[in-house]
Amino acid sequence: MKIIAIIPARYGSSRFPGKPIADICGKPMIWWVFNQVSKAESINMVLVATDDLRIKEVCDTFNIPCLMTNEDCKTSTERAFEVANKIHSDLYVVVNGDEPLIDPDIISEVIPKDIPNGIYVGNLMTRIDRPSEVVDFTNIKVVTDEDGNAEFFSRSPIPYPKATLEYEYFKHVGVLIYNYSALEFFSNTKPGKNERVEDINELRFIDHGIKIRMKEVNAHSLSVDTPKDLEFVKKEIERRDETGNCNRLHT
Amino acid sequence: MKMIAVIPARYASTRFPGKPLAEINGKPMLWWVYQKIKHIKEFAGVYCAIDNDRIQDVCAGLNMKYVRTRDDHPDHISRIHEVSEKIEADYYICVNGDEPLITEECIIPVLPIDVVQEPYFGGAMRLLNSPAEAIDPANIKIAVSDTGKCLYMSRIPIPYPKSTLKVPYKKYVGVECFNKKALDFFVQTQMGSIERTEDIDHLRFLENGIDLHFTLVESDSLSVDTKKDLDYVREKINERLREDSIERAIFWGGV
Repeated sequence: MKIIAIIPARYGSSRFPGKPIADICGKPMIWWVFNQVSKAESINMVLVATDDLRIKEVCDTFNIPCLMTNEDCKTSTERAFEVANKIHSDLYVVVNGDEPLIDPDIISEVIPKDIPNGIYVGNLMTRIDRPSEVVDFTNIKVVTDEDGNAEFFSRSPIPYPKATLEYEYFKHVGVLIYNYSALEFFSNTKPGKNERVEDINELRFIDHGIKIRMKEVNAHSLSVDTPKDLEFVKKEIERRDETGNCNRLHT
Repeated sequence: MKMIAVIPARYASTRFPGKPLAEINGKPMLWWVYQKIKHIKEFAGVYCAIDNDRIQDVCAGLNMKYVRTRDDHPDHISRIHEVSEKIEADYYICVNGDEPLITEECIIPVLPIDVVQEPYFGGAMRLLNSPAEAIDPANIKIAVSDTGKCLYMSRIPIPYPKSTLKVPYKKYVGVECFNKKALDFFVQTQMGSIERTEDIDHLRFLENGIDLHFTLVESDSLSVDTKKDLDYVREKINERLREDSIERAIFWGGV
C-alpha cells in the first residue's frame, strides 16, 4: 500500500502571518512537522504543499520536498487533491502544519488495514481534558456513531450532557487520510449546508452522506496558533531529550 | 459574633420528591448534613428549615433542631429570611440539605470574621474539572475579579476562553452566608430580569449593586438531584466511613 503524507502550508494567517516558517531553535516550524511526520511508519514519502514562494524557498534550503500549488485553493483538502493529481498513491495523509511536536506514532494510527473501496476518509480524534477546550470554538468537537464513524463535527460542545455527566468529549485532530476518490469528491463538490455554517471542511463529506472513520488516539501535543504559543513550543523543544537541546540539533 | 447554621429542607421537588429524607446508610440525607455542621464550633446553633410534617417528625425523632417555615417560599433565601425573623444572629450560614458530602473545609473558609453594617453575602466555589461539568447548566459558573469580587454567575461556561485555554473554571458550592440586612434586602426587592432569565437567585444582589464574595474551597461535594446522584453519594459516604475513624465517631456519636 503506497501512502504519501502532505503538509499543507499557507503563508497568510490572520493570527500569525508566516507561521510555517516561524523560527524554532534555528529551524522553521515546517521543518519540525516534517521531521516528525517523516518518522511515522508506513509512510513512503512526505512533502509540503504550498502556494507561496517564500515557503518554497525555505523548504529548498532545508531539503524538504515541496510542491507549489495553486493559490486559489480554498482549503488544504483541495491543495492535497492538486498533489494527488501529480503524484499517484493509494492513500494520502494530510497533516496540519500547526503541531511541531506531533507524535509520529499517532499519525500511523489513521492508516486503515486495507486499501478501501469507494470513497475513503479517515480522521483522528482525542479526548478533551479541560473545560476551556470544550468551550473554545477553535477546537472542533466530534461525535461518533456505534461503528466509529463521525455523526457530526461542531464548534459547539456536543453532545449535550443531559442524561449523564460521565461523558468524555472528543476533539478533531489535524491528521486526515483520503484516497483519490475522496479528494476528487471534495474538490468537485460545493460546500455543504452545515459546512457553510460551522466553517468546518470535513462536514462537506458528512453533509453529502459520506462517512468519515474516526480513530481515537492520545494526542496532546501543543498547537501553535499565535506567536505566544510559539514561545511555549520553543521552551518545550529546548527541554526535550530525543531531539536534544538547541545546541545539539543536527540537520 | 453570633453565627447560626440553617439547612433548608423542602419536601417537594419535581425530580426527586422527599429528597431530604432519602436514605443513606440507615439515616436520612438531611441527618448527614446536620451531623457535619453540628460539630463546627463557630456555630451557636444548627437548625433545619422545614415546611412539611413528615420532615418535622423525622427531625424530632433524630434530635435535630428545626424551624417550621411556610411551604410557599419561591426560593431558599426567602426561607432563611423567615428563620431570621424568628432567630436573631449576626450571620446565617445556609448549607444545602442535598449536599451530604459537604465538609468543614468547605464551610469554615466562608465564615466572615467581622460584623459589617451593609448587606453581606459570602459563598463558596470550587474548581470545575471536567468538560461535562462545565457544560451542565445545573452547575452555576462564577466569574470573579482578581480581587475575589464576583462579577457574574451563569449557567453557561464563563469566562469564554478566547485568548487562553488556561482557564480555571469555578462553580458554586452550596454554602452561603447572609447577614440580616442581606436577607431583608432580598425579600423586599423584586426579582431581577437577569435573575429571572438565568434562574439564579443571587443575581438579585448583583443586579442591585450588592457585592457577592466567593471563597475558593476544595470539595468533591455534589448536589443530589437524582437517584443516580444518591447512589454516588452513598458510595462516597461508605468509603469515608471505612477510611476515616473521625467520620465513624461522628456517625456513632450521632446515633
